[in-house]
Amino acid sequence: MNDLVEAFLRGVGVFYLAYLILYASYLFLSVTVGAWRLYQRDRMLQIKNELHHEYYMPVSVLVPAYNEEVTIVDSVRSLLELDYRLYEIVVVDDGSTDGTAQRLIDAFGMRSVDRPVHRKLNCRPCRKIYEATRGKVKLTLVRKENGGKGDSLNMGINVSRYPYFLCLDADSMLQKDSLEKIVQPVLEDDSVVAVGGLIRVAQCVEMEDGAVKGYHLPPNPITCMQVMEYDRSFLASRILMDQFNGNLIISGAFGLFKKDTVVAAGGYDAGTLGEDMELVVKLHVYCRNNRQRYSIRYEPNAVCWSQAPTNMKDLMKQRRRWHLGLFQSMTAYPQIFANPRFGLVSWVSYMYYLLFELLSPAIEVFGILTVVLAVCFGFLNFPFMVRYFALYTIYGAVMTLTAFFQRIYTQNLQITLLDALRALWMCLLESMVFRYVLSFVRITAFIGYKKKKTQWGTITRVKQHEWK
Amino acid sequence: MRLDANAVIYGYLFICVALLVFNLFYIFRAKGRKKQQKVRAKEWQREIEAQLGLLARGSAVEETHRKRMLRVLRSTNGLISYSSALEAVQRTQPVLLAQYLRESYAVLQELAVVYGRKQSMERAYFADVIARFRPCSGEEFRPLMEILLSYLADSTVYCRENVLHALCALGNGQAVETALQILNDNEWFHHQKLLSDGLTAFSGDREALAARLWRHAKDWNAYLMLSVVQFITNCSDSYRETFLPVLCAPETDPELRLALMRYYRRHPYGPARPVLLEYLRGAPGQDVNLAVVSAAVLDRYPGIDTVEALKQALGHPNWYVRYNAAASLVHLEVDIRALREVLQGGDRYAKEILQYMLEEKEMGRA
Repeated sequence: MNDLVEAFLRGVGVFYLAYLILYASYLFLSVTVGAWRLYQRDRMLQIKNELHHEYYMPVSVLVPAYNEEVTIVDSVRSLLELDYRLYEIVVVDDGSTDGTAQRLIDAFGMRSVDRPVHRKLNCRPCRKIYEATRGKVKLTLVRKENGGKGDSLNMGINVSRYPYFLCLDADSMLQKDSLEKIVQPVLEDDSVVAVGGLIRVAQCVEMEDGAVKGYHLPPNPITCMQVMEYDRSFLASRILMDQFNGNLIISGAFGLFKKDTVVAAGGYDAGTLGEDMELVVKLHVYCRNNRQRYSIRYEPNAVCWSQAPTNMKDLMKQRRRWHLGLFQSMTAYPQIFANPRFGLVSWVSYMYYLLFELLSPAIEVFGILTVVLAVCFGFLNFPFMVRYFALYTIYGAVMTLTAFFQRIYTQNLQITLLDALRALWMCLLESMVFRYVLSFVRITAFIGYKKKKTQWGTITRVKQHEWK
Repeated sequence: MRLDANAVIYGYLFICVALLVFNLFYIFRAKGRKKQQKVRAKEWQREIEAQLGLLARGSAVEETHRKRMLRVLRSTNGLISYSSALEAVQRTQPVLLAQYLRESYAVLQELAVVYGRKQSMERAYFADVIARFRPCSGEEFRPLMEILLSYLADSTVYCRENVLHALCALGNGQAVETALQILNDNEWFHHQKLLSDGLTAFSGDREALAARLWRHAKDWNAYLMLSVVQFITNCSDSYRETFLPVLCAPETDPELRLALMRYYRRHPYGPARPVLLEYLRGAPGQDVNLAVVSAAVLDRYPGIDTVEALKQALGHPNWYVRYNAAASLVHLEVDIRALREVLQGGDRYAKEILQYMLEEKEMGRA
């Protein structure tokens, strides 16, 4: 029996070594490429390698909202301040049970109109449309029956007038130049069908008139650890995948899409929790199946500040939702798996999401069970395990710290020495505790899966001035 | 096995720490460099102001200054400091600075050759400096323009953009024409919006440039000509007659035809009306976009036949045709009595869209 267990543990050991080497290599490669690209971009901006025009293509900004009465008016106000010549704002109220719509109607003096809707995509029926014009920007509010975020975005696409649309979370804040920046990849290459921007944690920033006035790490450790996590993810992974048109996700909080292509591909799937990822995967499949030249880009200079959950309950809700969304998106398009027709999208991107995102919680839990087994049979080399864990933790923390400082530098942000030290501590904590807690949360995501399938994963929102 | 695992882990950790150290080193070095550039910009500013003082007294730019320019500005970092200094001086002494730049033309031309041998990113920057400070301008084709044109080869979209921007800023039609010819011959992509906007910023005679570019209607690709037509739409109303036969010609590229139709919205022309009406009514098998665009363009062509055609278009199967036709009818301020048959008719789609447009107008936004 002991021999059998020993052989099993040896096999598991080899598997984990290979798995971690693969993950560590990926992380290293992505941070290195991310750093190189960001420094290059920084230099390019310094020596005016940019496209700066008075006028770009018109864009419809779609803001799906469900029970967002706390932040919706401020969000729309900040959107009205964007430095962009021609755009409209479409807020889609997905049957909110609070005063989301009424707040908007009162704040902007919106009037009810009998506007016909061109139903290019299926969505739940519209109850009422309101319109107002603020300066050069047309603001539209659509009140519809509840159908989920994807369904609301489909309605937004139907109502929108312009050839490109930007999807935005109701609590997101854009910098004045964010829209201009996210449009630039489309001007560089006309085959671009989607562009993702950089999402950062809003609780870190003090914004005034669309400009960053101050940056500090939030006092709440849960939020603070998410800052580190976001920086690592958006700096590293997405830039690396962008090198070979391999991004499988554009965050629903901030992404630009070519309307024609999205409509042709069938729009958002209203029945999935990860409608943002599902759409991007669908675009890959649609364009490749139709032999359409396409590109899906990531633009790290286009920044969106989005509120992160501030308590464990909201965070768990959000991560379960994300994990289910990941599962739904990956299982909906199994044809990408190990398919040479999809090239690196299949071999690198899909495999990465499969092995290191979707299956990683299960692999980690399996690892813990194996440790228990090893303890039971007396095979555990405790000092080695501690050393191994410590080194792995330090490795992850150093990578995260690298990503954090790169971001601070390339965005010209100033932080205090205290914040730098807190960043160091948070990186360690994130690598040591936070990621394992989140792994546990993700593995429990499937409990009650059917019930939660089309629900909005709303989290507690607060106004900007209340963060402090 | 255990030893191997240790080696691997420590190896990775070492690489990782090295990456962090390198990053921190890079960040501090880059910050130091930016500070240094500011100091050097101040030095350049003092030096340039001294040269402007000489020019104001009727003397020429000193030879030592030219030599220093030639030596220091070969480096991109040097050029960054120098251009910051020029920017600062331009705010206070624009006239004298223009004279100084004209006198420094030979040095800049020599530097253009130096930058021509550098990476695309650096070439783009040099072109940007030329665009901002214009050491020469006018219809005379200068060697600097020739050198800038050579930057287009093996370049990025940013380099192409900055070169075109520089050529437009210098205001030389021949140089711009040659640049577009190069893009056409090599089939290099440059977004048509960037091209047409860039051309609109042309600082020379835009009518003359339009004439120059339209000469290539038959030999340049449709994508490029689309930008040319958009540019002409923005800057000239003298192409009404010229464009009409092209609009009617069956061999005209579909996108180009739509652009020509839009020209007739900006610059209404009576003889174009029957053509536009024909497109709106739509022959069987006709591209539906022609009806979509003509429904929008006809809002500048008041008349009974236009109103009738637009009313009919309200029943078109295409949503965008209906939308544009309704908007045009409202824009034409057609008497409500003439629209009653639609508003009281049985076509729900036509009625709804028209009602909405009337409502919009009432709200002062149509």
